[in-house]
Amino acid sequence: MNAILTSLFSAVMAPLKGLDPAWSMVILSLVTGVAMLVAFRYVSNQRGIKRSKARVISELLAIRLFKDDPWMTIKCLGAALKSNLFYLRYMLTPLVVLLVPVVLLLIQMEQWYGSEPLTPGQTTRVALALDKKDDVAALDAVKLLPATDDSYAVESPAMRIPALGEVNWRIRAKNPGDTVLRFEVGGKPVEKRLAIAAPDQTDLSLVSTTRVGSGFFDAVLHPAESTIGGTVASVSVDHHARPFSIFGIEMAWWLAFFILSLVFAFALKGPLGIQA
Amino acid sequence: MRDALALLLVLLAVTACGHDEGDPNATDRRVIVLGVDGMDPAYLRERMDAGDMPNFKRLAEQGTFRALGTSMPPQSPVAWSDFITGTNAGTHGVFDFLRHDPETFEIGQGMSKTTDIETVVGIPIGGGERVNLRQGRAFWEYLEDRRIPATVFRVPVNFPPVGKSTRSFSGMGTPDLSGGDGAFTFWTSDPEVESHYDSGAIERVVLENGRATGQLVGPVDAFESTDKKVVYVKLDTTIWVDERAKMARIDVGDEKVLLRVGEWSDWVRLTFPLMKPVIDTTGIVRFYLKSVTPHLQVYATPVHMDPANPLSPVSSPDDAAAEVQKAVGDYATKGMPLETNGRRADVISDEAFIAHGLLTIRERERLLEHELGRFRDKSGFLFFYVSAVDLSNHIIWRGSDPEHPNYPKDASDAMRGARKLFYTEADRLLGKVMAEVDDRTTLIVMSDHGFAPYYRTVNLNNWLVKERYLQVFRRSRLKDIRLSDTESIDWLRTKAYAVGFNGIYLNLERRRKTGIVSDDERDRVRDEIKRKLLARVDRKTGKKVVERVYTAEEIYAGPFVKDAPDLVVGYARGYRASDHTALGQFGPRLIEDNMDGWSGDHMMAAELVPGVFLSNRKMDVSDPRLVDLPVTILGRFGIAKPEPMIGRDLIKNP
Repeated sequence: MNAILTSLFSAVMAPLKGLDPAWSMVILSLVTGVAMLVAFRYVSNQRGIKRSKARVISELLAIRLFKDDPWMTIKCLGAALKSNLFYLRYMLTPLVVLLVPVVLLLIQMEQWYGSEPLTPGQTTRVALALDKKDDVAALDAVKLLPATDDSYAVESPAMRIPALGEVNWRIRAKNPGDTVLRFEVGGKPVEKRLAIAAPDQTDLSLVSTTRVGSGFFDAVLHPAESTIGGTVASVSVDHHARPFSIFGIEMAWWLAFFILSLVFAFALKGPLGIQA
Repeated sequence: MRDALALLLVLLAVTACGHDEGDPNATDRRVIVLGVDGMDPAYLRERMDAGDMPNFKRLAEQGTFRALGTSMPPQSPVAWSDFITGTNAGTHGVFDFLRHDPETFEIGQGMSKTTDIETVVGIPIGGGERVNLRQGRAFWEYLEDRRIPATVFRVPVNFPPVGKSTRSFSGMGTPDLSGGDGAFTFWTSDPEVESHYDSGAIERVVLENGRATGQLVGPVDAFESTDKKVVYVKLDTTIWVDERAKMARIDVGDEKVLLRVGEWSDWVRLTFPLMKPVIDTTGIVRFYLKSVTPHLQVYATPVHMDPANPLSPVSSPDDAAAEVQKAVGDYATKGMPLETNGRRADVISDEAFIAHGLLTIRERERLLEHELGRFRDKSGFLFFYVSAVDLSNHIIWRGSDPEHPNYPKDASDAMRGARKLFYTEADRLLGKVMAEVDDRTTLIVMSDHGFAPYYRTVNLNNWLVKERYLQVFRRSRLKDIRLSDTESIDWLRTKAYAVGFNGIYLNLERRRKTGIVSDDERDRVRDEIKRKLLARVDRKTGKKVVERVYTAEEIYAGPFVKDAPDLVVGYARGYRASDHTALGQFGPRLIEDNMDGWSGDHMMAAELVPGVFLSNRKMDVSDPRLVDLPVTILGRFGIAKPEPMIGRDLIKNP
């Protein structure tokens, strides 16, 4: 499932990755906004939403008409609140249904917008964590092998932290390109993708910071690489967060995405004839 | 009609010339100044003769090499202010590294100060800004008047940076993120580590199951701080240790830094919350792993303001610092970027200090390459500052001077060769600059002062007590008191006191509420002190302690002479005022051997520590001075000497 989603999203990003990240975000938000509206139309009770909104409006008008009658005003207010609750109930179902694809989309976007690839000369920390903590012998049996393609150099010996069940190394990126970190864990090979970009590269690229051992939620949150299995809990590489700005304003990429997709959705719901 | 035509022609001619002298080529010229703080002419000559400085030698042979007359006192803030304004301290108002309040003796930095924080019901609403204490116009402001493009990279005494169209970066005087001059953090599990030098935090940690925890000090917490107590934002820090691998991992903020014993980290960017979760700021820091056994010892440099997002402006325009950071990566923003405080506190070794110094000079090299690249094929002015020669020499002097009382007999090769190493590094930088020099470029290499050994430290206030110019109630408690202790000093019988590195102040009636020296008595008291100081001989060495004593009026002119010390002491070679003296305190003895890591200095008589002047142009003056340089630079662009400047144009030929 992860592999399919990652391939699909990579295909979507293929024509966008060369654009300024702000523009690719605008396009993604627009497409997402439209897609969410269309999906909303089919998973929501459009007639019910329309009816609830109309009732709320009619009760508000009644409040205005009978403003000299306190009892009538309270009654209309209660009816308006009741219609509003119905409206919220009609919204809840599509919200729950749409939550799943939105979360999956955000996870995919995090792979592209969340972190910067390494650049040649940059040093970073690589960590391999085992399921079991305080097992020094198991940690001693973990090795990071030298690069076969001169893409990185291992700069430090293995540093073992039994209390965390971790082995850490410091590596230095040498040459740009997508490559693989190769480990031996108890004699078995383990690999982890490593993204190194040229210093002048402006294109977005997929950066997988962590490959997890097992577990449903861990796997969902780190979809770019398959689970490792065995005794390994995770392999991770520290990357700098990718700075993101749009129209000259620095903000988290996901905040820009939410704002833009909501703006597009509100702007287009009328022309698309969707009740929301 | 004829008159109108003539007027038009005159106007056209003036417009075409664009400057006073009417030199049509003046604004197409290029001037590059490489400022190497603390480069000494005698040692430079020695290294040139030894063949270690090929680029300096080539420049000297091509044009000019002279000793450069420095300021009095020859302290960097004073000297660089002379250079920047073309005036002396009487006009620019910077007399010392330190300034003091004559009533309370509260000591502050002499280059800039922080304004008081204004609050409403405890909530800070303003103030807290840094103000540059240097007065007068910087010479590049005259270039701006003529729209001559200029870049001034990290010149001292330029914080906050001055400049409208000039790209100007602040240097010495720029505080760290905590607002101080550089407070390190040292985590140690060794209970016996102590430091006599109070310029950082030594935090004792307990190493248990390979883990120790501490805190890293960041910026001032404006919400928690009061007038009486400054509270800092701190980040929890966890240090994991692998004794077998001789490594540690430092977890601080969101960062995890791996280090082997004896390694410095790259810059690490940290985020400090100022008002959770709305406002935060970032800083950069380097870590050094000194040891993991038998004790864990980890050093963190002061946290520098992040050049990409500084808490206070470190460049003008504000975004210039970030633009440079984007191009070359992180770089030091604190005024004095070498770890002199850590070395003085003896929490890092000489070798760790040298290794860090080399990292800093490599970083400066990248910055120089960037600025030279921007300046390529353009006209205008570029100043670039190098601090590592000065700052390293303060520490490493004793490594190559067997006469120094703190000479390390078992010094490593790195320590013995360090002085030469930093000079050759400066030569390499000059090589990069010279590669960019063409016929229309005037190249000047200069230093603000030279260097000398600092063998013996003088507690000048002790001498003033001995000579009864300064009266204390209990002389037996001398080393425990300071000028700010109003109950310890008998001000109604005190005639003079010392504060700052070269200054003696008379207890003037017009200066202090409890002043007793009238203006009529002033000259007599000054002459008496001067005579006695010049006659003073160090009993241990048999040498003179003081070479020259200057009165303020002798060496300064301008509106701030009234703020100057009444006497400026020019110590003899090898002597310097103690830190106690500078802070308005007393030492255990009158003169002591200097056993501090700070083993070389220049705060002596100006005549003993001239700077260097080299240029690719031939010079007409045999005795150049710092104040001549801005006049010379402006002259290259056809700008006549502005009114307040007192120097001469050293290069008459175009």
